[in-house]
Amino acid sequence: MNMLRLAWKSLLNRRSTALLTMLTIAVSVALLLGVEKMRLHARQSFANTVSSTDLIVGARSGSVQLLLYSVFRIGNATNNISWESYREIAALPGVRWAIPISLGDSHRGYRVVGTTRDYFEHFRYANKRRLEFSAGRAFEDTYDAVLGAEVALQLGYQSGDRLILTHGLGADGLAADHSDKPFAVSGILAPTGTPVDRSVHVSLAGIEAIHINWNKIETNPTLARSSSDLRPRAITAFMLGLDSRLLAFKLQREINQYAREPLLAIFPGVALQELWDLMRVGEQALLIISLLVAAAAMVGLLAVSLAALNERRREMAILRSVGASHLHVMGLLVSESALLTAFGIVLGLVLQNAVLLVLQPWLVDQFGLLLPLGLPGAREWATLGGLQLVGILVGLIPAWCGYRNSLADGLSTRL
Amino acid sequence: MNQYLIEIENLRFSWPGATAPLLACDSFCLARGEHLFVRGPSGSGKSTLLGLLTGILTPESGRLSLMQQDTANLSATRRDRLRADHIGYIFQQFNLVPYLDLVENIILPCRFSQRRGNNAERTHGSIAAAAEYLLRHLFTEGELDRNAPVANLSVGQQQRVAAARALIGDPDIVIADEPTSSLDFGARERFVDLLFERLEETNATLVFVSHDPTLGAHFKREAGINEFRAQAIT
Ligand SMILES: Nc1ncnc2c1ncn2[C@@H]1O[C@H](COP(=O)(O)OP(=O)(O)OP(=O)(O)O)[C@@H](O)[C@H]1O
Ligand SMILES: [Mg+2]
Repeated sequence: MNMLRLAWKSLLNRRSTALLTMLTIAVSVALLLGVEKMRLHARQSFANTVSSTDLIVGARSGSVQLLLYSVFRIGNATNNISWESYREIAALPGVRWAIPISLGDSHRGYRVVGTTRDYFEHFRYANKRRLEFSAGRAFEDTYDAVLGAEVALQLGYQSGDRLILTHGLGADGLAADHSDKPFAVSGILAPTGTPVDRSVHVSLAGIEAIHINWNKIETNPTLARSSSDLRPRAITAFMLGLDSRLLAFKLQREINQYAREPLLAIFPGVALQELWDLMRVGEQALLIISLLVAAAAMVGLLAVSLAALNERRREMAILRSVGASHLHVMGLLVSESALLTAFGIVLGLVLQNAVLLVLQPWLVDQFGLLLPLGLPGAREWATLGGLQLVGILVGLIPAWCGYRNSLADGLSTRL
Repeated sequence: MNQYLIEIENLRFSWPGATAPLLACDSFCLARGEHLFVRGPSGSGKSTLLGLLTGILTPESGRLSLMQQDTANLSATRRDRLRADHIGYIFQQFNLVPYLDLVENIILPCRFSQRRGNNAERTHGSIAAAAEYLLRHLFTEGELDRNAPVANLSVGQQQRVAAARALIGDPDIVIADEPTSSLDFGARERFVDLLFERLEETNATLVFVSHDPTLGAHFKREAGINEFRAQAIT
């Protein structure tokens, strides 16, 4: 007899325990897949954030910290660097391009990046891709702003809309608004899947303009606009593109020993690697926990199968009495745990995607992690295959125990 | 020459924990095509005897041959195989599988035994047709809801499903433990007619245990349980 069919019917007969067992497996599968997906995509999306940049320069601090605030817009700079230092280094021979970055303001929770038009020219992400405009163009006027794709989408801005920047990084209302200096949207960038999507880009002059007379009551925007000198005094960091990679080491040493002020130059790739090393422990802890949860689910499956075995002695004996061999009975029990595991895995896949669907906006918001929905990759399939195999092997244990129950025992009805 | 499908020699059986043996039989044979009616009061050991004759219970000592094979020489697996292929057993408690529907219950032996499956196909064209044939003879027109779970059938209906399960695939030996205990007169007649028709056609051997003395008329050979007991009861 087709043992799978019999196993299916038998499971249906005990559907509440079967469902619970399946659910346990599903939760463990969802956790396992979730952790794996997070691991993979955190890496990928981090690595995609910056490309073709040879050096990142900021005030002296930790290299991971510099990487985090300059590229990922996570955390804050402890110090600024002077405009003069930037100008000097950007003018050094071998420097192909330089992008200054000035951070510290925000707009409704999104960070404002003060920069130059070189940003749109030279900044690269993912596999050397350049920024594209989905609408409008780069800022020209002091009060122009270029929005990342997500900012525009979430806040519903279109080219020409006006927006008010906030001093500091707090939410609206808590920090002081630069309400006297409204900006106009000049362009919107195409989605990149990087923190660029969540940034508001304005010119350095724009940043200076909103900070001129800051703290003084200044209500006339035309006055600020007409201020002749909007040259920035300080920036937060800058990125450098060099003519040759070989130059990078020499330049890094020079910058790190820069006389005018303490600076730090980092290779983005090296700093990323350091970041991984920091995250690896946590990553592995998560992985181990999820593996343990999967193991617990399998032990649960075994416990349920063994417990049921005692109640099912009669069922087994009946099947044997009408001709089922030991092999058939074994096939039945193995089919059952295989079925439970298989359905658990399928349910786990669904569950994981369902949870992700709900959490996705929050993950993007909080960590900039865009975890895509869908089926897992080859590595995860291999893990799931391993789990299925364990599920089958787990069925062998009650099968072996069931084998030892005598037929006569099972058939004599116990009152 | 007579071919004996069941042979007993110096057989003893006692239940674990019992002080004296329950069954003892020095010599007993049942040939192919022979039908035996066994009588005996309740608790006298009739079901125990049938348990031995189907290889479900093992004798304490002595020899039991089924289908001309000494059961003591067979492994548990081979004994299961022998029972699956050659014996149809109508249990006193029916022993239906509660989560299968009635047709699935009936065809179960054909699923586990290739031989029974082939027999059913040879006689009726297909296993499903064999089940249909048995159902048609055991139940009145429209009596059955085919899709009802077996647990929802009446006791008498369950008994007839158990009978059909034992008869499908033309086993060489039919063992029936009070198969008419829950049947009304009509159902009992239908069952007995079908049983003997099948036995006639396949030349099968029958051991039939019953309290109902009127059924004895159908049998050439009768035995009291005392013939198999260690100590006779009156
Ligand atoms: N599983 C068992 N373990 C121990 N003793 C048993 C077992 N089954 C039956 N017996 C004992 O064997 C004796 C015979 O029982 P059995 O079931 O063979 O009687 P029976 O003739 O079939 O009775 P009935 O007509 O009521 O079905 C009884 O005294 C009973 O106590
Ligand atoms: Mg009995």
